[in-house]
Parts: sequence; C-alpha cells; structure tokens
Amino acid sequence: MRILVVEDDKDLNRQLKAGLEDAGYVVDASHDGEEGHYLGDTEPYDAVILDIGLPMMDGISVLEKWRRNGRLMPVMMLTARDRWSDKVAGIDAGADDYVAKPFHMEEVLARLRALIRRAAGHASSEIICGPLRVDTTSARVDVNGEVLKLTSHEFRLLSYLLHHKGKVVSRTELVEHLYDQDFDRDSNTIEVFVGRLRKKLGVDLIETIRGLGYRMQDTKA
Amino acid sequence: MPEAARQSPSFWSLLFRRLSFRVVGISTLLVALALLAVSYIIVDLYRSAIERRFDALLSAHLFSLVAGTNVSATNQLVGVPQIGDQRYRQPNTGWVWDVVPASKTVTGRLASTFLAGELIAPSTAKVPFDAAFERRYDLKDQEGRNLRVLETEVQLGADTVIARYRVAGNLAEVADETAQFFRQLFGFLSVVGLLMIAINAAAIILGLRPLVRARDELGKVRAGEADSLRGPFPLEIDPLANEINALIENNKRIVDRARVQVGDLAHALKTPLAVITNEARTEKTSAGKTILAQAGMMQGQIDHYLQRARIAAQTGTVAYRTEVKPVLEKMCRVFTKLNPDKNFEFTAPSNRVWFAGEAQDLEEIIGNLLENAAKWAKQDIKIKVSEPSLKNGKLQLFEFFIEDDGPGIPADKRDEAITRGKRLDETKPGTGLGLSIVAELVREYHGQLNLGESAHGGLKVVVALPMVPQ
Repeated sequence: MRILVVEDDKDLNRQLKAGLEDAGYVVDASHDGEEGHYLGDTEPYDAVILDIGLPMMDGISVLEKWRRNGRLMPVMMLTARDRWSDKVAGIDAGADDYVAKPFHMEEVLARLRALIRRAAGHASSEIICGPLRVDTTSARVDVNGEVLKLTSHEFRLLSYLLHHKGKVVSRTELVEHLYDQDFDRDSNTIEVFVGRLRKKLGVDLIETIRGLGYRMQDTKA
Repeated sequence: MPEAARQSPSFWSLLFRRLSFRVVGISTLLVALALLAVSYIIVDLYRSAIERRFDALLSAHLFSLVAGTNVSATNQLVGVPQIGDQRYRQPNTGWVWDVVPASKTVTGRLASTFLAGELIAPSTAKVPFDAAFERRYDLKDQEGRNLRVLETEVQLGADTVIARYRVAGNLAEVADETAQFFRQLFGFLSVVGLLMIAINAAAIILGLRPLVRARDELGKVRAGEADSLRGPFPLEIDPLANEINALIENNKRIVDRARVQVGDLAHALKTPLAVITNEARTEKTSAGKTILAQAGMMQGQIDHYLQRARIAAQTGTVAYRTEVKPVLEKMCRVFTKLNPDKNFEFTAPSNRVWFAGEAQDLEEIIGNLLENAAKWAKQDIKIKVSEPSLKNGKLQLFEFFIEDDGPGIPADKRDEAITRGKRLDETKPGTGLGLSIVAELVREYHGQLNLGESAHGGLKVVVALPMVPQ
C-alpha cells in the first residue's frame, strides 16, 4: 500500500514516514501544499495523510482541488486545530478522517488501516478469501488455520490483492502501489514475489490474466 | 453599601435615573416657574391699571368736591358738594371726603356724613404736593381700613383764603378686584400649565422613542435575534447606532482574531509536541519515559488552556444566533462519514429553534458528545431536539439529547466523567477532555448538562442551551 504524507514539519514528516514504513507501507513524503497536491494529483496512492497548516497551499485547498479533479483516495487530515469547526471544514472539503496532534502513531496506523479497508469496501479488519484469512491489524495470515510467515513485501502484495479481490490488478498498478517513486519499474520483481506468494499460500487464489495482470479470487469461504 | 441595596436600587433612584423622568421633570419645573413669573407680571400690571383707574376716580371726585364748595363772605366754608358716587353717602364703605381750612382766615369744616373723626394726613415734608398741587397718600381709618387719599389745596378768593380738599377711597376694593383677577388668572394659567406639561411630556416621550427603539434593537442583538441595530433612526441617534454596530462588528472581529491566534498557537505548540512525543516513544530508556510523561502533561495543559482561551474569547460577546437543526444535520453527516459502521438517527421539531450563541460552540458541544457516543456505541446513536419549554431565570432554553447503545456510565461515576482530563476507560483513545469541554461550554452559556441512562442501555446526555426567544 502506497501512502502520501504531506506534513511541513520535517521531524514529524520523518517520524510518520518511518512509522508507516515500519508498518509495511510504501511512503512518499512531501513538505508543502503545492508539491503534495501535485503528487496526489499524479500518483496513485492508497491513502494520504494531509496536514491542514501547510506552506504554499493549505491542506483544505489541496484536498478540495484533489476532489474537484476526481481524486478519490481516502484522506486523513492531520490537524493541530482541534476545534470541531476545523474538523468539520476538513471533512466537508472531502477528508475521510482526522487525527488531532499530538497523536499516537498506533492511532494513526489503526485509523489508516480502517480507512483503506473502508475504501476497498471491507467492513472488518479481517479479510477472508476461501481458506485464506488475513488480519490487517496484526498482519497475521493463515491458510486453513495454519499461520504463514510472509516477508513485508509479500504481505504488502497479498494485502493489496486482497483489498482489490475480484478485480484485475495490473503489474504497473502493483508497482505503483507497492513501491515508491524511485523504484525501477521495468524489473521483474513483481513476478518473482507473486511466484513466492503462490508457493507459500499453497492454494491457487491468485490468477494470472494474460496480458492484463493478476486477480485475487473473490471467494468468501 | 449592603449587597441587597447594591443589587436592587430603590424606586426613586431608578426613577431619577430615567432620562424621560428627568427631562419631563425639568420641563415641568421650568413651565411652572415661567407661569409663576408671567402670572406675577400680569397681576402686577393689572393692579397698576386698577390703581390708576382708582386714582383717576378719586381725582374726578376731588374735582366735584372742589366745584361743590366755597367760602361765605365771612370766609366760612359752605356748600353741598354733589359727588355722584353713592359710597360717600353710605356707612362703612371707607369712601369719605372732607374740606378743612388751610389758612387761618378760613373757618368751618365740611365732611361726608359717615366720616368719623379726622383723616390724619402725613406732613407735606413726608408727602409733598406735586406740580398740580395734589398729593396722594395711604392711611388707615379708625376702623383699620386702608384708604387712598387724594388731597389738594385751593385758594378761594383772596390770597389768604385757602381750603384743603380731601377725598378718600377704600383700597380694599383694589385688593379685592386684584385678588379676584388673580384667582381667575391662576385657574386659567393652571389649565394652560397642565396642558403645556402634558404636551411637553408627550413631545419628550415621543422624542425619546427612537432611543427606546435603539435599546430594544440592542436587546435583540444581545438576545441573538439580530446581528446589528436596524434603523432608520433620527439623524441625532444615527451616529450612535452606527458606532454601536461598529462596536459589535469589532467585537466579532476580535473574537475571530483571538480564535485564529489560538488556532495558530495550537498549531505552533502541538506540532513540536507531536515530534517530541513520537521521538520519546522510540526511546525505551528512562529519559524517554520521563520525556513522554512530561510531554503528556504539557499536552494536557495546552489543551486545557487553549480551551480556556477560546471560551474567554467568546464570553460576553454579542450578536450570535445559530439555527440548531442545520448544525445537528451537518454533525450527523460528518459522523456518519467518520463512522460508517454506526447508525446516527436524528429528529428535530418542525419549528425552527435558534441557539443564542455561536455556531462554532454548538458544533464543539455536539461534536464532542457525538465523538464520545460514536466511540462507545455498539451500533445506534440517537439525537433528538425537543420542543423548547425550559426556563432558567430569564433565559429560555431548548433541549437536545444524545443517547447510545454502548455500556453507559454508572450513576456514581457520572460526575467524574465531566471532570477535566478524567478518563473512565483507558482502552479507547482520547484525551478525557471531551465531556469536560462540553460541561465548560454549557456552563458558560448558563445551560444545563445531565448524564443519565439511555433506554437503549447506554449513556444519555441531555443538554439545555439558551435559545433565541420565539
């Protein structure tokens, strides 16, 4: 999952980036409103953490412009202005959630997971696909009750496919969402990880759609 | 001064503080003084005219007296003067005459029938004769009546034959006539005076009506029914109304500026605090723990004092009115978006209810309560605005309640729940400030906050806030 963090305070930005990366997300960071707007407008993010008080362009304006341009990724506002009128202004501008500063990283992560899950249409933190069961909160994966050990890259790949199960996900889309901007998009790393994942799962849940990409089977049980 | 006396001024002090009473009182006093002066002048003029007429009458009588008398060959006074006035021939009228010798060569004395004794004249040194050889003086007769005497001396033949002629009229008639005139004048002027006072009072009260209207308009602003004084006012009051409107606008600007500055301060403090807190969490040393604990305390203090600053900025401000239903609808929409797994149900009366306060404060109260309800509810959160019926002194209150189907708060813990920074359950995220912020805001608006048990098993929060009178 690829997250954009737009926060002007360098230290806080660094901490958020580190915390999110530790949780298995791919993170792009921006320090002002204009750059943040440009990135959110051009790159496919699974969620955005957006500070309201930003230089160059404030967070509310950035968000309004994204929504006007049809950019519908879930956005979590980060605000030190914790009056409800400020929060309502953010939500009305198109934000999906808010976190007031100072915050616990765990709370940001929990809310972010819920946001991404909701955006993908999953009500529960547990996603089930046939014999496969993934708890997005604890990153626990089991097949028929047997717990699997996955690397962070493998978990991210599986998580993305599960969040979009039943849909064809192209290789390019996977690269865009699982790696940051600097990743070499021509490498065949994705094929390698899909192969490893299939082997670890032991069940044939990931289909290859020739010429288009991959599809996780949409099976409840 | 005793507390009670300071709080309730007496009827008279209140009366004297009334501008209309003062102006009507002063104008009444001036009218009374003017009428007194006018009546004095008129009565004095009237008395002078009466006296002149009286003197002219005496003069005519004196002329008749002189014409009706003479001296005989032996220089004895003789004659029967025919003065046309009957009063000289009636007793106790005070109208008398006499003719006495003024030289030794003349003898005898003539006098009206009822002149008892003599008229004691003052010396000529005291009251000299005028150019017409007449002199006029007042004296009292034997019955104590005030008489006006006109006297002359006439030479009757030879140089040494001189007689003194005197007619006296009763001055009581002048006094009676003057008094009667004064009574009539007093009655007339009293009616005129009362009419003038009434006209003055009406004019003053009518003239002051724009001030009363300005006061009523200001009352509407205070009550939140209007956001400025609405004219038109007379040209004299217009600048005052404009100044008050400018003051109201300035007040709003100050509050807005204070709020923005508080927000800026929050931003300036909380971002570095977030950095410190996050950094300290990664440090597992005792120093890290200390920093984390101290940062937590700083956060609590910042939250508390920022809230105090916000409330202080808005306390006593004027001209705010907020329709309740749209705010509740907006907050429900926001919370439905934030909590798609929860069911928010909202009902409001058909008539429009206006909160006598700021939209931001109402949002703050509802936002904190809904956030709390959403945190604890299993599924359902109900919000209902009731028909306004409560009173708190002069304040009319409307009531709304928010209830959920969560675990609720035991009765003995409810007071603790609205205490600042108290968190009854540490398993859910939060600062513990939500309910205390609500309690503080409600208190600032002289409203009421009650925690109870919902019919659905969870918490029921009932909030009563002042409304714009309907």
